[in-house]
Amino acid sequence: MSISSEITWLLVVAGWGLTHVFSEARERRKEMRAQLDKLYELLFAIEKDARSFHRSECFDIVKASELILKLNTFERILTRILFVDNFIQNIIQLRRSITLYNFDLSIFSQQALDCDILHKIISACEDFEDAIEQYYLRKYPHTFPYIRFWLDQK
Amino acid sequence: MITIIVAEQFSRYPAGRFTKDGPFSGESFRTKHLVPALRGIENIVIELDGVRGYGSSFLEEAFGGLVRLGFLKNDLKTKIALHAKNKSLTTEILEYIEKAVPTSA
Repeated sequence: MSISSEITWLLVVAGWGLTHVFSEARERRKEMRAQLDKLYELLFAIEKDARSFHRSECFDIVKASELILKLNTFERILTRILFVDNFIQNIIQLRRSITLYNFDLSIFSQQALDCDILHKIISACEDFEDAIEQYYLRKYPHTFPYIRFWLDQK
Repeated sequence: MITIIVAEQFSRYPAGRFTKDGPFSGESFRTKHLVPALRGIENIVIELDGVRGYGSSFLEEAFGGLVRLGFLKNDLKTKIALHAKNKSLTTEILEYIEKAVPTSA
């Protein structure tokens, strides 16, 4: 086999390899986007339920239990998709905004639309979404090569 | 050393801040499990996994309440070992211990 044919084969294999890597990266990016979209659906459902809970005229123990379950589910799904250590403060902020104040039978009262609790819930959800999107953009930037293979986790 | 498995020894559905909020409240957990263990034994391991979620009011009352009762923050941090898959739980609990203000102070 001549040197020129060896080089040709080398280029073919390298080209195939690169195409495979970028194809995999594109698929992974699409998968991640789909998983995040589902996660956001759950986040928005939590926000909606939390606002409804705090706006209710009376304490609803079923809604309270469901909110805690949904928050737990949200954290479990997040752990499966992303490196969760980056989002610990966001998780705490979200849980706290919903369940720290006005979340118990003995102290519950209907909250006004412009109250601090509802404002904190909305902020926590927005901050969480922003933090996840920032992570996603660092992992999958809009510019070539469209993926960071060795993304620092912090 | 004593190990408290919340899901088995207390409830899989802990909820509420005060005892009047329900039988599995933060105050109830603190009174029935944490305080007796801390007064009797040196170290406690608390296994937080297996529960269907925690509310922040539960966590604050259970652990922040210890500081309000007079337990020293440094003692609590050395005596209590928190075990949980979700790091957010242990971080949040430690924040409540740190931020709580002793009632007598």
